[in-house]
Amino acid sequence: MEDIPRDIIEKAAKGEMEAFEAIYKAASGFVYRTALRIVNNSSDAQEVTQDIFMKIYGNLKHFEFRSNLKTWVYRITVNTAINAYRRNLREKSRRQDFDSVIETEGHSPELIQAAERSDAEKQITSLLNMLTPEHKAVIILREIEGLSYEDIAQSLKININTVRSRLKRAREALLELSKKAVKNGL
Amino acid sequence: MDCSKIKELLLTDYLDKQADVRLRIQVQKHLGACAECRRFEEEVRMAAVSPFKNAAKPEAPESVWINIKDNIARSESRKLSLLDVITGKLKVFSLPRPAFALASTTLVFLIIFAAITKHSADKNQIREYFAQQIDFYAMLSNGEDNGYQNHTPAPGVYIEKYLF
Ligand SMILES: [Zn+2]
Repeated sequence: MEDIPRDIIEKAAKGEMEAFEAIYKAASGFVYRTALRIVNNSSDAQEVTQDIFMKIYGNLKHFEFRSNLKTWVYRITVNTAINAYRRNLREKSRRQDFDSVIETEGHSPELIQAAERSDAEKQITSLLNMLTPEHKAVIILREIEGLSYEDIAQSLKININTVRSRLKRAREALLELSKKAVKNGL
Repeated sequence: MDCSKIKELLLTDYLDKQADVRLRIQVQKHLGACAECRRFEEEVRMAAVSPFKNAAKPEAPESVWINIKDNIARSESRKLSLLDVITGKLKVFSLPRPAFALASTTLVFLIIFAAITKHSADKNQIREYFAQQIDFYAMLSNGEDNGYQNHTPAPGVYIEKYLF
């Protein structure tokens, strides 16, 4: 995520919409992409993004919040997206108790969207889907968004050694998956 | 350093260029001499790095910003109308002496309360606003749902401390 200049944050805190739009432009790419990778569908990712920016707007009056804006955006994005993902899982399993699977999975726009995605994107999605939400988060932050260990630690509120051990385990899991794929001739 | 320590670095600091020069040189020396670790490095890069190299970086659709702007405009006008009610009534009831001041304050609150309960839309908006605030603070403080609560907070993060 781009750095947001201090004066822009101060102006946005005073209610200047142009300044808030500048914050949106600097942060929304990271927020939306990370949410999209975690929740795995565009409409939920959009909702998560809206949610996060309303929270940013509502909290700009807090000084400490402003001085840690970037870290806070990283953290709230991951937390909100993981919560949305878990809520979706729960809802999906509840729905499947009642509706027929064909009915709900039949013509969803996400499936059509998925079919249009490139092979590389399909591979990324399927690999990420095999990971636990916590492992998924560290891989997205490190490999796709390029955050340093320090930034990941602050974003996830964990210490640097936990960042290391999560990355290690996530990558070991990815190694296992690739070995299995080779074994199955994929 | 033995192979297992090297492999650990190949999965983390060395791979992510977070290792200092001294450590990098040590790993490179080992890789020069150990075919197994060289193979391992190659496997890790193939399985855990290359797939993400060209990940698409989509931006949020235009409609997201439009919705955010609308939501902000709505919440701002809601605040203004509430302010109008308060200042408007204060003009009528603000009397100089403390006893009347107290009485008028009570009246103002009664009127505001009546206004709020009368307009159920406003009431719901206010309820929604508080629910959102509560959600937000819960999210900041509550790590239970995401499994991060057992870890030492990273240095330099004061947000929670400030908000509570
Ligand atoms: Zn070795």
